[in-house]
Amino acid sequence: MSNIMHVFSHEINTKKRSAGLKTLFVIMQVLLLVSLLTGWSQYERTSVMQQQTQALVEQQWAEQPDRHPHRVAHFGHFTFRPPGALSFFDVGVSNFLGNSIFIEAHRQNSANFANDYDAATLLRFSELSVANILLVIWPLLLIAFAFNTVSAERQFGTLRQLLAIGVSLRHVIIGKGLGYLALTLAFLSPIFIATLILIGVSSIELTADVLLRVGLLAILYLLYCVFWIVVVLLISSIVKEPKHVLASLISCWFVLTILMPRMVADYAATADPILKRNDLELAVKLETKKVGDSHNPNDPHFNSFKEGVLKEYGVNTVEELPINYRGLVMAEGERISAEIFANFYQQEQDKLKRQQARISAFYWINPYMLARDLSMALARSDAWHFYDFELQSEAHRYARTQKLNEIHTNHIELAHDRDQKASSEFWQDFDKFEYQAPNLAQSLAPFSQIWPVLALLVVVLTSLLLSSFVSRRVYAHA
Amino acid sequence: MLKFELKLLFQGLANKLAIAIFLISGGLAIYFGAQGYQAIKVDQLKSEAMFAKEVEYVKKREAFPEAGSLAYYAFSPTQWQLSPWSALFVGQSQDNYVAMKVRALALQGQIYNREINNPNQQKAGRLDLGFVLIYLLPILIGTLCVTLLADERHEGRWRMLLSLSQGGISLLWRRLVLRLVFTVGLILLFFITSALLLSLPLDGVFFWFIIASIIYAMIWFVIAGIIIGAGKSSVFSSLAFVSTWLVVTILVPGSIHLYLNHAYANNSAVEAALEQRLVMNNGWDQDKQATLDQFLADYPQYQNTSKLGEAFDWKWYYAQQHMSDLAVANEWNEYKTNQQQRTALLDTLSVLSPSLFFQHKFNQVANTDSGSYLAYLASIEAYHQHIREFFYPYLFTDKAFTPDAVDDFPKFETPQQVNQFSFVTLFIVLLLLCPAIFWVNKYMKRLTVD
Repeated sequence: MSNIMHVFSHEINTKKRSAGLKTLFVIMQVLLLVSLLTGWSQYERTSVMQQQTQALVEQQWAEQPDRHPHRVAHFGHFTFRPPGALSFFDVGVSNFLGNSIFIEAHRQNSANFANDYDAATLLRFSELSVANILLVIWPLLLIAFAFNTVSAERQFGTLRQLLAIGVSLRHVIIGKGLGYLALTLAFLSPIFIATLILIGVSSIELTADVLLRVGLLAILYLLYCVFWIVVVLLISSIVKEPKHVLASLISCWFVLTILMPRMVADYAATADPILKRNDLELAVKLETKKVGDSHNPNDPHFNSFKEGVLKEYGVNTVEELPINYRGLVMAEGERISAEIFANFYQQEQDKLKRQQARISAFYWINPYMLARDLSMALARSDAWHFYDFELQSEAHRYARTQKLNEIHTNHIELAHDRDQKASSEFWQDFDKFEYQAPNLAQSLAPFSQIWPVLALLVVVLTSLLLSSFVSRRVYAHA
Repeated sequence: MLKFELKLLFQGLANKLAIAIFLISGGLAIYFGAQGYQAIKVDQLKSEAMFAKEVEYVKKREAFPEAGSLAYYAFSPTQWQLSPWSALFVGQSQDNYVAMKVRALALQGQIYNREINNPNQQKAGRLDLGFVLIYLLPILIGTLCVTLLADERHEGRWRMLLSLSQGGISLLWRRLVLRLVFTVGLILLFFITSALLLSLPLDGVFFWFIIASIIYAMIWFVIAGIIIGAGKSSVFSSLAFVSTWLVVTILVPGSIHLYLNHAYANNSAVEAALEQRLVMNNGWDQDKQATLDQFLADYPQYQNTSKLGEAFDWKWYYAQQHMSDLAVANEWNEYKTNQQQRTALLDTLSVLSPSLFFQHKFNQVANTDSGSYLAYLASIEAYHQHIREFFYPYLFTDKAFTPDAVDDFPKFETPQQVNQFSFVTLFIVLLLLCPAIFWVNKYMKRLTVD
């Protein structure tokens, strides 16, 4: 134990003495803080704007004068997507997705107003967010700090001396590993403390859910860093020359964080291509026409629908109905098109899930991708959270439209339908759109099976590092 | 001599690996790019074909619709004119709405529509030839060059090489030039392969891209030369090169993005969309004749149109739609100006990083940058006006709307976007490089003393 502590404090002291490393460390801390603060100011701005605008459109809805309900259905409404509470830590894919959806009758519109201007030029490595710095840049620094930790001792013969005085190799490696773990903790702590402080002073509600997410993020990033420490020590132990150690580690870093993620993403997207907007709209339109065209007087579906309604009320013509038949047709048309849209949407979701499955197959060899995706899920800034918003928005659109159709059916007469108006009092009685942010379990649902991979990988690599195979190689070279 | 040097180039696991990764990435990039480009073309052609079919159907209908009703349902296709270069430098082309449909209703309700995109793919950053040339090529150059001197020193051969007449610095230069020639060969390989696959015309643009890529590669050779000239160990040289790469490709563009996002945060598009919706819908509850009169002040040629009656009238409907667009003209212009200013500032700031500078230029020349998309939006706006004005005579005068009239319906036509390139910029970069090369040479001369 004392041997481990000895190696540990020696390692720390060596690093402390290096002016270059100290400077890099400080620069990185400043960079982290700057990106945290800019991320936070973007979060606050977006959050306030989304809330205010949502309140504004709710007010605009309620202030409508007496109107025909179908006019109101096309007046429509907007749903705004509030940013994930921790998106200032990991902005995820938020910037690439629209911030608001215009909801109206018959149509499922796209989420518009995204923040991806110039992304193709400036964001080839994604944003300079805290998460990206920790995921991509910190491992490279760890490599620079630690690549020669074993190999240089070997080169200068100090390793042989250590072993000669009876320090076991395992203790040397554990001591060094703990040294870099301490360094990592020193690197991670300030940013997590700053994150907690920002949560405290900002408008974010301080719930157990948020704190748990921060805690899990801390564990995730610590584990991710441990993975890199173990890889660095492993390569440093089994490869003989420091320059080859460095070359192998940099290659490893480059392939895992720069090259593979984009290749896998492009491969997954090409293998299960999702429909483009025009294709989706066309498919919904054609399918809806197939089921029932409410504008066609001879449409079989709507003819039998009419017969059903007439029978139910025991009358012979729609004019004799106590309710407005046109409202019923609207509601039936809405039901059909919404159902068809939901089916297609589900098809697209299935494709996206298959894409996700293709990507997760690589988690086993690329913990960067796993850590990246888990981090986004914890920050509520991944694509699944966006799809959840889209679904909530569509559900809200459907409920709002059907409520208007109900007013149309019950409060507008069939004769001179278009010339009538429903009282403005009706508009006061609609539910506001309130986005329900997924809880932790829902956020992590797409990863339920896969999250232990990172821990497992760290355990396997650590046992490999401390195995007799590695010891034999080190002894052989020492 | 050359044979020996070539052997040296392909020796060592690192070199072989770097060359292999570079070639595979390039191949995949061209493949993915071509696939995406194909999908765009299919989307655009399909939209056009569907619309042509609808037009034929309408013309044959027994009950030919009135102009107002037809205009309501006529979602006319537009295309972001993309050249095959967008397969290699995809820019925004794979994510933005490239086949937007537009009808005679208010533009504000349509122009912000977005393509369904794949955010994970966008976040990962995509693999196109632009990525391979701008971000991978430097890594290849670093692997091939940056430890040249340090390795000779490490092996103890440098002192001996210095004493040779053809050795020392001139040998180092020869090796660097050989590697430059090899790199140029790879660049040519990629461009010629792409030209054959995508049938790119062998015009000025083609040579511009090749020369620009070579000049960009030379910049990284100079950076490698400076690091070699520092005469430090191979470990130090490698770290210095990777750090430079990190700063130039990730940190500088990332910081500029943070700054631009902060400085040009603007809500005017949302404000425009919200306000336009309000104006348009309130119009139904206001004096319709007053709205029509306002519209006629803008279109005096329809001054003599009859007064509105009690019943719903399409001509009021389209007048009202247009007036609601005009009501938010300020916000809409502010939005466009904001984007243009942002692009202009990016033009200036991109000189801070050669990677960013060339990435930006490549996307611009391939017409896939945000600026080109803005130009596409502007052409949609112009087309929207053509569509509106096509229907006006049928709405505001007695002119009869007949099936034959449909043949005159305007088509979306923009002059094929010209790939704007300038050899002058490249020449200036080259001029700046010359003194750098001389300086590197002088700097390296120090090393003759070992």
